[in-house]
Amino acid sequence: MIETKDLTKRYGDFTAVSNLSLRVEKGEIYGFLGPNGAGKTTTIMMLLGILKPTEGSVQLFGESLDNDYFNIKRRIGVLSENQYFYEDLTAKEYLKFFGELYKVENVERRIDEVMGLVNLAKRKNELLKGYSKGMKQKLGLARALLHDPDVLILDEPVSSLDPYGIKEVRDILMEENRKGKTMFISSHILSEIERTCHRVGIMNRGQLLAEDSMSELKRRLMDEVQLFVELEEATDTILKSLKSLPFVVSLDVTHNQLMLKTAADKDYRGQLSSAITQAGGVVIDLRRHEMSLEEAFVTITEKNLSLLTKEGPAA
Amino acid sequence: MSISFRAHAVRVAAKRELRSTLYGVGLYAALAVIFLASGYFFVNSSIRSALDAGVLALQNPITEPFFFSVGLAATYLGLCSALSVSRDRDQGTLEVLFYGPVDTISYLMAKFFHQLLAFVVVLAFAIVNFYVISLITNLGFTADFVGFLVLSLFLTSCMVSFGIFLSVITRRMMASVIAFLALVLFFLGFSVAHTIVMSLPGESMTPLLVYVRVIIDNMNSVMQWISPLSYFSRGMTAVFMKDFGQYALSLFSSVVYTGILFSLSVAIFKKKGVRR
Repeated sequence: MIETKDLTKRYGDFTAVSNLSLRVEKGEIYGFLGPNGAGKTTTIMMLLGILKPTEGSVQLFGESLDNDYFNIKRRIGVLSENQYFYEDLTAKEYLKFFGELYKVENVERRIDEVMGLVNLAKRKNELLKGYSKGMKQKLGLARALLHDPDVLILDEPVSSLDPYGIKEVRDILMEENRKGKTMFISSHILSEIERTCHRVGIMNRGQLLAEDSMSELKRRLMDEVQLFVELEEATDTILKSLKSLPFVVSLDVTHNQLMLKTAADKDYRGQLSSAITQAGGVVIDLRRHEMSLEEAFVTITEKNLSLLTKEGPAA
Repeated sequence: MSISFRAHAVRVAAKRELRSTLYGVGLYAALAVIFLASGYFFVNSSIRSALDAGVLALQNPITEPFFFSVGLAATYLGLCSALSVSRDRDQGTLEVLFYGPVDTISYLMAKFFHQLLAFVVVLAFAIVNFYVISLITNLGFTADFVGFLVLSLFLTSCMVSFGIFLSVITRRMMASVIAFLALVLFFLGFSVAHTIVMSLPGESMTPLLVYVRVIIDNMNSVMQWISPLSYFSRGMTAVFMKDFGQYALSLFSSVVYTGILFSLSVAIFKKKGVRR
């Protein structure tokens, strides 16, 4: 649905985006991450044809925008980071204008639908100059959904929303994805990306450093696995037995709670559990500590770590 | 295919802009000022000077003030055009439009037709206004009126394309307004200066003044093609002289002028992009 090949944007000596090649499949939710100035918005603007790439190409639905500009644009819904509106219009008039522009059938009914979806149905006849930042963001989403596009390109879709608004938008996006919409989401709110996206791409200094599913990305970042074990009683026999295991790298004990580090080559939880039982211990809790997307993001961007080769982390 | 999509985008965008103009107060306030100014011009310049001179018959008693007001209205719409693109860019609404099925040509054409349609509304008000004046004063319209009417549309097209061009090349609203007003005043001032210099008797001139006069005259021949106002004055002269060939030529040159400025606007807009 979305494909870029060696996409590059230069401003004089400064390279905002360098040789970006990515591919978003149909029905996928792709999270596009990166610190400020990483080149995310520049990439989105090139996807939309608003910025011309210095080099490389963009294909949407297998076509270049130059070949079928109007048809491609009709199949995309966009929500930008900053919301810009005609403040002299009401929300309904605003959506009606875009509905006509996109040739939406039964536009009045569709406006009611999308305004209901973003929980603004009661405010549809109010002038936009009276709308709060969060309301404007939701109205922007309503505009992006109005023509029922195949692809949604969303730049910071929940940045101005309160927790209720964030949940509302997340539910809408998940529902739209269930209906088959492909999504390309750029966001700083990593917990939201972690909850909604199937795959993520991490940009830093104009380069795509990592692109994979969340679990695979974390797996490749972790050379050791942390395991939390809670025992009925942490006896010396048990601790001695655990320390003797070859895959245990380190062991910290706090009362009856243990924090173990093991090699990341495989899952050792089974072996650990049976070693404890054989030493006469009783396991109350045994959990693997998962790396959060935030930790993965910080690790990759701070070290500018490229994970694009499948062999594993390489600086 | 893309032509029909483009035409649709032009129609929808121009309709929204026109609606915004018609529901706003700006156009009506400008018309009120223009009609007052033309009324003042009508009484002071035409009627009073005719009475003072003992003239009993005027060639174009209503048409001249009518065109004075229409010319001012066209300039007002030129100013609005000069604001249009830079305002959208300033407010960020330009970018949002381009997320959707709008391209440079359809966007600028919508701006152009919006102002032209607004001018049709202005013409309707002007016709009613001067028809009432005609009834009150018993001064009639002449046969040239229709010729002036058509000409006014072409003048407005020049003014609007000139305004859009300035709006495309400037980034900020204030810069657009200043550029438009400064250039219109410069064109007017230059035209007046040219008329004065050319009317001076040649035999009493010093060699330096003769040299200056030649330079101004040469500059004027260039200015004739740059200034949108000169297309109007050429057309008006043709109507007064009842020279149909010159009249048709002035309409044609207005179309060429509009086309060139529009093409330049499209090229510059594409180069500058839509971002703030």
